[in-house]
Amino acid sequence: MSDWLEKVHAHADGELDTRDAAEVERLLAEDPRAAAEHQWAVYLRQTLRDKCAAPDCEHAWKAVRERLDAIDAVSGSSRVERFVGRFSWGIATALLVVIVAAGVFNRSSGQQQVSEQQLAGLFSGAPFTQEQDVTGARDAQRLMREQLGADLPPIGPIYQVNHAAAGQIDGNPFMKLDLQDSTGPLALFVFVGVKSIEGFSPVSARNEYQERTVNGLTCITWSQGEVLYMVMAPRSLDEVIAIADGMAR
Amino acid sequence: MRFKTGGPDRERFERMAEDVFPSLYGTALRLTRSPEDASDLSQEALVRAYEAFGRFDGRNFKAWMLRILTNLYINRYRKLQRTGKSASLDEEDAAEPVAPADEAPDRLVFDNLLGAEVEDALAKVPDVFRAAVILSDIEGLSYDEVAEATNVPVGTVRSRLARGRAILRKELESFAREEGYLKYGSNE
Repeated sequence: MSDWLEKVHAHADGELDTRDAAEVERLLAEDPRAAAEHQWAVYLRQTLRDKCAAPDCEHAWKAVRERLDAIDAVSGSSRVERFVGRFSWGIATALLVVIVAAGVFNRSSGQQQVSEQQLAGLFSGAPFTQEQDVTGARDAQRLMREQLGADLPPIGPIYQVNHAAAGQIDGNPFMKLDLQDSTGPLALFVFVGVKSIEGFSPVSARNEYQERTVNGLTCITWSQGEVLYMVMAPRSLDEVIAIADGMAR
Repeated sequence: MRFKTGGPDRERFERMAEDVFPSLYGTALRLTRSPEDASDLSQEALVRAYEAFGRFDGRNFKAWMLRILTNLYINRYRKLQRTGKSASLDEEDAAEPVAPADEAPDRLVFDNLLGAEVEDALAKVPDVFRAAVILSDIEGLSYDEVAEATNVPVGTVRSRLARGRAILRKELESFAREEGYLKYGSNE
């Protein structure tokens, strides 16, 4: 196609510089074919703009948005993957430190205190999850080892063991044994991982014991390693200390 | 700077893309002449643009989008051509030179043409010329923008436009004669 035709079209599109535009305008004035071509260029451009409407594309736009959603979802997870990949050693080290610190903390402060409310629950029997009748000290010892991994204090033939119940307080296991001696009934609690019981105070001149009266019952506690023992009976403090002395030997 | 997908960038991109999407889809439809292909092509162009949004220079979003779409179309077309499924893209083979007009258009005759009839005539223009005509005449891109979109020099755009319009004119005249809008022998 000749250069003058292309210039005529470019002029119709306003794409010529001043010099070329002036040259084409002279040609349009002199040559009817150039003038006709120019009119065609203008006319076709206008016709295409007027007649070629934007087609309905709602469905396609919807599909585009779904694809963008999919990209966002994938890039979101890959950002996490990239982060984890880049800092994997750091994350693993941090996790290890947290695990070790938690272990050290557990060892140093894992022994807890039984609260007032939890103590009240012991009297109502709320935290017990397992109960069974026991026949003799040997049976009670076996059960305690199974449940707590702890030994029964030496109760000897003085006490008859009637019943055992087990449960947990804040994840720490404990057992209650219902005993009977010649004076009457009493109860022995054995807690693992418990340091003390709220509201108890030291017995004067017997610092190894803590004492408190709850619902008319005298309660004495003492610790051996990670195990806390508590005896309770409707008896005087001296009588209950005597019972504890016998068990804590 | 890398564009972060999702969040405010997604909203900004979506707002801009929604504005130009009819142009994008329309161009894809006129290039491919198939609603399914047009949907695929426009979607693919938008996805690529979304992933490359960080590289958008902030000037003419529509021209940038049309460049991505046209490049995608050309690449796909060339692949089809290599597998022998499509006609040649060679400009010399695509169309014989069309003689310049002897007479100015009879506007009263051609103004009666419907949009669909103009679209049909446009569809008969070979690809390389049709792309230039669509981008310049329908979408209003400058010669420089058409050159960027189609990866050719401005001189080639000028040539393709002149030839594309000449072929379109011939098609419209032929159609007008068949429909009886234009008498045989006139405008020859």
